Amino acid sequence: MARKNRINRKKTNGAVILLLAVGSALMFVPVLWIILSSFKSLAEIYRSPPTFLPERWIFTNYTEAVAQFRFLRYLWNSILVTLSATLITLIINSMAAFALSKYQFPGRSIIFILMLATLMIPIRVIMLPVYLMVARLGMANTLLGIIIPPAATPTGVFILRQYMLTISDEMIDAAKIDGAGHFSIYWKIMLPLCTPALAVVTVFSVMWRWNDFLWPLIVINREKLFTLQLALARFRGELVTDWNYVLAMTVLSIIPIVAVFAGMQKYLIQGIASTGLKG
Amino acid sequence: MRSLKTLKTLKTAKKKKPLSLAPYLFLLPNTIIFTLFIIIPALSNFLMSLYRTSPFRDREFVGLDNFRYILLIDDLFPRSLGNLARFVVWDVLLIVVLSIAIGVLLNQAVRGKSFFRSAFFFPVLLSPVVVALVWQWILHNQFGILNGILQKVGLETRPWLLRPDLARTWVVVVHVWATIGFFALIILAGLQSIPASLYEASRVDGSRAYQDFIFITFPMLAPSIATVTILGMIRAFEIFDHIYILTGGGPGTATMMVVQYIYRAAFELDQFGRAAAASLVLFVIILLLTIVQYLFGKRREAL
Repeated sequence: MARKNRINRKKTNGAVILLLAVGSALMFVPVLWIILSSFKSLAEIYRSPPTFLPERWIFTNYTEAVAQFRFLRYLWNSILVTLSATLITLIINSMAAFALSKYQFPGRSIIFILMLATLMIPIRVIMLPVYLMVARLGMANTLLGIIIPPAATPTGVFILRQYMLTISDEMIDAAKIDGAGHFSIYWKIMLPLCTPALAVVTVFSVMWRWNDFLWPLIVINREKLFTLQLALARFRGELVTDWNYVLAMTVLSIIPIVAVFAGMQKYLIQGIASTGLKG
Repeated sequence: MRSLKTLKTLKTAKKKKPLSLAPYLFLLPNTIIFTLFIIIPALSNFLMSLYRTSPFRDREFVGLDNFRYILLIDDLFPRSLGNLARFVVWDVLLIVVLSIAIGVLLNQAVRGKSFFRSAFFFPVLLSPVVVALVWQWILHNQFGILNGILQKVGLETRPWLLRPDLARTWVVVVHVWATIGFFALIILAGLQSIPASLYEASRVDGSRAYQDFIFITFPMLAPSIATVTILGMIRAFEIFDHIYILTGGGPGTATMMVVQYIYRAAFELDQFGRAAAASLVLFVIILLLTIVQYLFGKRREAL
């Protein structure tokens, strides 16, 4: 009986692994084909029926794409937007979360409820008035216009506040007795203790900002200020003949985000898990 | 012990009594940005929908004309709503079913678990632009690998993105492909939070695997499934980037969704008032559905 069970167990295990393997292949192969195609000559890319592996590996797609299209500029714009937006989000969100979790003051619950309520506003539904505000403040067609408006994420404040609530007040009280000011309590005690929650917000913010398309599309129309995503979308439309470069740039644009994921996978999964458990 | 604790919190509350400016200062930067770029715009969207307006023109009050135009005169808006409704239904349905299936599979104790988990999550890392570019090539009528494979095995090739019915199917498939890993992880977390003792108890009672699934896993997973449904729905309603690149809303207007309609009205046709009216309609729909779901969830809890 026990042995039969074990055999059954083995069979289901095999089936599970088979299903998972097929699923994983479906997730990987499309991108793999694009990566392989980015090493093909233009003539081979435009061949029908298409090839899977490159007949001849052409590495100049990459060097020429970087040289011809201001790839480095778009890359720099993307990096600048992603890093500064994430930094600003981390600082202002954690400051707000600190106030909402460790102070009692009039208006606290109103502010918190208001913030929770806006979690329900799909941001794209208000993109027009946000754009008009950006234009009125003179931030249209600037990187600042991409960076600032979405920085005060209610989600970030929420994640950080929940985490700060679990930190006991004793350390804060002790620091107060030692004469530490409000800001140094926040900066020197609270932030270091919040590292895991800050990491979760960081991963989400980096992924979102790096991959964002619609908001930069609305704010920016000067080619000099394009992020990578804008550049990719634009070249796809315009340079119909230069697909070898577009494919190479596509692959290059994936690398940084995969690297970030590889480094911070733990926090990302933890963050998603807590989204699920909260609901 | 308990009274001591309340005493302590009372004390600390008292200590903080002299109104300090500090919390307000901490809140200030976030609140300024929040007010400027979320609260004021959310309110001004209502006003905007009542005007004929654009950044380059003086505005003119037109009452409900914008709504009349998008709902009754311009048949593109109802059509994009119809496209969106169809998209949302299939998208959410597939996401819920597949995320549960993948979540359950990933929860099995097999070798290479963490590899599989990363594999399913991989497309989530890709930007919508990249996802759309990748699939545009795969589905390309002449040069795409899908038709290439079909040809090789002697099956009929199809113009996947050039026929309305096929394009509608593929935008759903591509979007599900790109986001399913995220939702599967939510389900996986839900599965892992179910106490093992429940299964042990039922095993003692001699229950079978499928019974476990129906009577333990499914009910315990309900909150995670609800999260997946709500998040999936809100995201589906807001769909833009993937489709804008993949099909541009075409062929014709077969895959044009509401956000693209709004984008087009505002930034291509310079009709901000009409775009605002369309935004408001979309907002009301999303809000109503969220409320319905919330009430539904509440009732289930009461039962």
